[in-house]
Amino acid sequence: MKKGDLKYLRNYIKIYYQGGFERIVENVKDPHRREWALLTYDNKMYRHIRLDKDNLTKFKDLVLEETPKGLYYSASYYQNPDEEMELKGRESTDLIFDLDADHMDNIRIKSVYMCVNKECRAFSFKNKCEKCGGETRNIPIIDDVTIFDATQKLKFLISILNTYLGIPDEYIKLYFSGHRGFHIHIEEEPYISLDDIDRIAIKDLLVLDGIDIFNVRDRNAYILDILLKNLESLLTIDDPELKMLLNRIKHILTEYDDPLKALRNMRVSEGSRRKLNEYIKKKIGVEVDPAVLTDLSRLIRAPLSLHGKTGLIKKDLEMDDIDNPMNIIEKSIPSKLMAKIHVEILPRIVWAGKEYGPYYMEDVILPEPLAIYLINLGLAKGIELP
Amino acid sequence: MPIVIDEDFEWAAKYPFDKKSIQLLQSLSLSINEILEDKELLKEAFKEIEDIIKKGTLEWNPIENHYRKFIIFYLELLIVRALESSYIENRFIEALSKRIYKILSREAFDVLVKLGSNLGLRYKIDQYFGDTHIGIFFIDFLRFSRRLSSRHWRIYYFPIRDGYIYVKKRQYIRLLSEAIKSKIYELILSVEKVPDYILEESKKFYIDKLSIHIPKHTSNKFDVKTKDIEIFPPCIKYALKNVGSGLSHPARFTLVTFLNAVGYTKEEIINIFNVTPDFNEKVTRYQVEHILGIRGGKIRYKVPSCRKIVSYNFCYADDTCKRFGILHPLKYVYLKKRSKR
Repeated sequence: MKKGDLKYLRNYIKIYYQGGFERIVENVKDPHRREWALLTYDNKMYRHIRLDKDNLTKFKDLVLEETPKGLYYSASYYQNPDEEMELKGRESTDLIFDLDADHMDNIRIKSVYMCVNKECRAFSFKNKCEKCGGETRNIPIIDDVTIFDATQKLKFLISILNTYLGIPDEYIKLYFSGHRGFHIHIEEEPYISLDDIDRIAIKDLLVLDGIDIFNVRDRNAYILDILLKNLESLLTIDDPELKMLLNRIKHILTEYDDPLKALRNMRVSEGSRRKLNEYIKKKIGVEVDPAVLTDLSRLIRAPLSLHGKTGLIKKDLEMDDIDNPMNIIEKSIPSKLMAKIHVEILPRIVWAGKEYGPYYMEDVILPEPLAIYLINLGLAKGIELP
Repeated sequence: MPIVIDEDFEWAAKYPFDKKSIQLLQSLSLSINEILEDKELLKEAFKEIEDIIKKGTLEWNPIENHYRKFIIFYLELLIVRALESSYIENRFIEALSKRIYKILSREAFDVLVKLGSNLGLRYKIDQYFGDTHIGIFFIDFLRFSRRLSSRHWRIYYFPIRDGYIYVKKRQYIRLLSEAIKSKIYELILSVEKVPDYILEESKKFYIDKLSIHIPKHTSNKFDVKTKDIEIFPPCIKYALKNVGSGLSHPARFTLVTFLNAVGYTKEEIINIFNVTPDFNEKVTRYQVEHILGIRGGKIRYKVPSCRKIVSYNFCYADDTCKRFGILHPLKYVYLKKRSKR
């Protein structure tokens, strides 16, 4: 990133935290029992910070001084949040689900490609370098459409938490992460007392790790329940073998008196079994980040803090917001200012309800956070006020 | 002394760990000296423990004196605590839970539910899926099913609704047995001081009767000591390869516990991390010593299982992992070592 761009970006962050820092801390449950941390633009990590009345101003000063690309707190509540990991004395841990759009199946994500050849580094819309013919690196660009698609999986996740795990809506705190997807925080007992082994089991349930639908022993099992509810979408597959197998399974599950025995006795090669189970996992599993869910020492971006890569806020959402997902990015914009910037390349995207691009090597005026996002992606430079 | 009917003692003999039985014991207000006046009681307790260590089982005889059976259980807890051997502890808990499992299999539904509820299993009886099912609050299900390694205990193979996981009677009994094991373990740990007389007798008993039956864990049955990186599992090879470019906290933790388990010394482990430009020996030493239980909470951490490594996102299972269904990184080393012999 160019020096001038970094200076602009850090100033943008500073202005935001000057007015918004206190609100971030007030918004956190038991901030003094958590470890706080920040990551600077030169990748320096400040960790093991305890927040209390005495050092709140000092911490704010540090944030304003460092203008971090990420402000974090621990998912865990500790006795001694400022000690080294092993001495912190963990008491409980928020149950947090992180759902990223680029890990999901069937999501529309715009991309540009950058040549990996150091001598070339040309951008293009194709995955083969148009200038030197070399390999390229994919640079995904998240826009309203991506977020719209991602909310479908988010709704599915929330329905599992509600309907199956019985976690009430009022316990589910929902956030747009400020970048690629969503975070769900659950901060209530008994869920915060779950240990890492319990969380791994929940991860297995969501991701469907290790499923074998030919070996189910209860016809009302969760896996068969969601399989039946999603059969029509599973049947949209092109692979003739898997399609045939799925049709057979549909027939067995809906028509047979003893479907479990029929499933067990189905003649299917080991390879096809594995392929089908993998396909089901990919389509109806929820691709939550396993590390965020199961690692009890995890730091998580603080709600209402700025995402350094996008200049957007990690914004709290209401359940109604996910019914209008095209507004989510717009709701997360901290500044209505516009910025002038030189864009190297950008396909047509829909961002905060408006269309931008396609641009190729041109100076344009964009909303400040979009300009910051493009700088961070390496797709633009030379930001300045118009 | 309160009026106690034999039915209460029968319950207490069968389920001495239960809340109701503990209340009964308290209501009897017996001192340890009063109990030890009957020399046969302690003798019978030692005999049962000897049988458990030798055979691994404990029979249930419904016509035995229920009061004696009940008191003997509590004497056995004191003896097991006095012996301070995790092998004896485990064998005792296993044998007892197997016996209870058999008794439970013959019990009526309402007895099972009552016992479970006393042990903290939150439940719901439901006709949701046609038949009567017991729904167990999913958090309790996770807590008590974690040691059941069969893949059929994976949560998605059960009906789930509104936070409850529905199980059949047979499965409920299995979970109940697990809850009972935890409870007995908790009772053993709750003994703060073993009376001197029982402590002395237990030591003698160990030397005279038990020591020859306790296996020596120094046999090379599970020998995983090696420094041959070639036979390390792929996750550990990955961690070793990437030490220089930075590892996540769980990956570093796994690497340290693994290297220690296969025989690396503390200094050797610290040296392995001495490849990064920002290597700080003091911090690394501090962290390694914590993980090895040398400082801090003095807990010597175990090598995480494959399931945990998968969730930490650095499982790179190879053919050996898949073919042998490896569930633990040390099992991989053990298998590879064995095949090299």
